[in-house]
Amino acid sequence: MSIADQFLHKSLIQFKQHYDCQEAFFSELNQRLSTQGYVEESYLSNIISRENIYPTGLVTSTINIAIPHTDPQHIKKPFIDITKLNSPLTFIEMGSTDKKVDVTWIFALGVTNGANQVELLQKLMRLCSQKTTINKLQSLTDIEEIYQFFSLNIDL
Amino acid sequence: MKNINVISVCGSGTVTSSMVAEKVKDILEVNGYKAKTVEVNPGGVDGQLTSGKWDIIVHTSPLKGTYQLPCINAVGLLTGLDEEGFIEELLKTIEKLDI
Repeated sequence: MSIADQFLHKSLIQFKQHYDCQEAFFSELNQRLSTQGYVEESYLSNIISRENIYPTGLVTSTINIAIPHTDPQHIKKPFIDITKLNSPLTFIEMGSTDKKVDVTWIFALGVTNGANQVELLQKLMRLCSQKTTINKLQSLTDIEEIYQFFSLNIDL
Repeated sequence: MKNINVISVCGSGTVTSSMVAEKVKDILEVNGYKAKTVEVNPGGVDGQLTSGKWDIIVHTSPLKGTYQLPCINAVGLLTGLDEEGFIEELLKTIEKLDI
């Protein structure tokens, strides 16, 4: 199974105007993931506390992103949940305790332990370093296009 | 080839640390070192230090304590934003090690 087949799901891609705070995002994320059977009941509290201790905001050469994820035991099946924000949401930068990053793309990763997940992260990071490709991504306006974009670019 | 033992640390000790460990292995191999790596979360560092001999820590999450061995932040390597800076710091640090 390809990386895209394994992780990418149309029902886990959304455009969002704005969130008041991280918790509002996580609560909506949890709602979506638990309704569709991707996560355990413990997911919400774990992802919030984990983001506090081990923040996941990342500045890349193109876009600022966050890759929130939990420990594997809270995940039922692997996923990448993609949110494009119109106005940025503040995260703390990975590896720091206080550096703020305003992100417009959130890739919530549902990781269960397999080696493929390292590959997913590598592909995502490589993608974020490619200016032309990311410009293309930024111009997309519907879910189907985003889905096609990642199907194509995550499996390269 | 000289051997270098590297502890790679991220929040869960799985995905990010594995990706960083793979990259570090590749970088070191190109530069004439053979790396052994282990991936742990910040709570797992002490255990590794008492049970084995390690030369260097690379990390993408904040560490729990301060350690005797050199610690390098690897977020720039992860994103590729400061890969060069990371490589430079890594190689400089390793040259100073007594191995």
